[in-house]
Amino acid sequence: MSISWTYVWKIFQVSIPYLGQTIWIAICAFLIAMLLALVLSIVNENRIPVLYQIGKVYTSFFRSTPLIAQLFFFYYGFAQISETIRTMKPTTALILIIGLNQASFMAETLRGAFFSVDQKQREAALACGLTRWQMLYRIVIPQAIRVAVPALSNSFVGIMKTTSLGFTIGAMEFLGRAKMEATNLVRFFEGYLVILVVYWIMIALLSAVQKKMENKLNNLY
Amino acid sequence: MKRLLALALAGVMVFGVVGCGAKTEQAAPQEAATEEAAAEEEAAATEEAVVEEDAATEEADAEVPTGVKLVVATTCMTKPYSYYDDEEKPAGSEIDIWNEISARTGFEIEWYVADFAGITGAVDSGIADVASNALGYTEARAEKYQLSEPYMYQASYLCVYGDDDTINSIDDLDGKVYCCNDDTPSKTVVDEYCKAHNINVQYLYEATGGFMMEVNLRRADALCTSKVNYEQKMATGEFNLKLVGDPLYEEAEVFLFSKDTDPAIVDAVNKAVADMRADGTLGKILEDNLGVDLSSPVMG
Repeated sequence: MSISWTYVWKIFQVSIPYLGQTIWIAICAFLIAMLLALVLSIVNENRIPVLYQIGKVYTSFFRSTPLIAQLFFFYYGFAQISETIRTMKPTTALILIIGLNQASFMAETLRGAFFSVDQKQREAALACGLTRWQMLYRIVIPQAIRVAVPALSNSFVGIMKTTSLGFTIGAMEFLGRAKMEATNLVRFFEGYLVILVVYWIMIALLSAVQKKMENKLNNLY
Repeated sequence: MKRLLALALAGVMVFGVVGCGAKTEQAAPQEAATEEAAAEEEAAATEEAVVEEDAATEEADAEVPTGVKLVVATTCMTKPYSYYDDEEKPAGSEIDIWNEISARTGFEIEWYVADFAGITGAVDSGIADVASNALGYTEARAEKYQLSEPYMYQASYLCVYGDDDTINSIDDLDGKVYCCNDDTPSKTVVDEYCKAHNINVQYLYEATGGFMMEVNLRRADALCTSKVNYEQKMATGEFNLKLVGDPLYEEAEVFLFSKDTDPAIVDAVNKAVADMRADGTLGKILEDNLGVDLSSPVMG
């Protein structure tokens, strides 16, 4: 088995400029997912009528169906009936769908994290005269975040990897560009080697950041 | 407070749902131009002017819809037909042909790049107006899309592993694995022949690394390909493949226009391509990119 380092370098050169795009898509999708997951978990915690039922259907749908099918259904399916989606940039659609998809998983993570905070904490907060909102914001969330960080970091890693589906709907990013170059040069081994190594380094760095964050949060208690 | 929260949350939940907005009509100038073009064509059927090589003249404006912007979908994953050049811009025979069509018709071209599933999805959904990637004519495609007149013809040969002496023609495919994309001439031609001659062939439809790689790795036995594709792969030095027998069929490459595209636009594109073929421009573009002039059929 021969490996051409010239081609490895060529594929690396043309695709690495798009790594910023991959990271940008992942961050935006994570923020959207986080916001939506927070909303979902508050709805679940307080069992707000109507929204609770919608949330359950939403979570069930997005957790159970493949992301690529969701992507195609939303971007190419709905585009036939919606001008907004038809004129939407592929990158925007990708961020939205990954966000919606991951929110359903992250909501379960947050639900578990909220559940881990002792009920006595809530009762004590209310007994001290805090409002429900202050209790959530000042007592429950800070403790729940500590439990949620490892699982949320996992979600972020998952989001980073799902950005690779972008090219199927025309959102150019690192993996799509590397795959395109590998196909045109007919150098799949070199191309996918570049992809694997770059992702590995990126996620390893992310894991180091995650470890630091966990240590800092653990030191607070 | 709870009510306010509920309202705010309802607003956020609706966030990902289909936006409102009725499907807009095609650009009004396009519709007006189509009516104008139809009326003029009836009156001056024998006076069809040859389209100039420069930007659209007043004469051409009268027949060709104006103010048209076409979104053309391609994969840029099929060198030398379409790929990214050193400046990260689409390049290749498909791009050069469309640039020339644009110059002759005055249509503005915008490129939409996605992989194979994406380019037809884009045309189906209206995100792109036409798919262009050396796509072959099939009856299924003719039913689903408005196909242009063929702009390129590629004879397709059976391609097998270099050391494989068991397959010399389609009759030897009995019990073998044949790679093709479903709904392409590569599948329909072989399928019809095999069914008619009771040849039991197994199909392989998906291969991210390409069908040639599958045959090269001995995971499949044969595929159909054009000489251009074959030579491009062989030039890398990584493949041990050979073409066997006479061409099985000649694939007519067409543009896939959406059914909603104004037929006058399709006609204008067909006319531009016909003129390009007549004055040799099309042949030159294909020869520069592919090494051979494939603008006219060679088989039958």
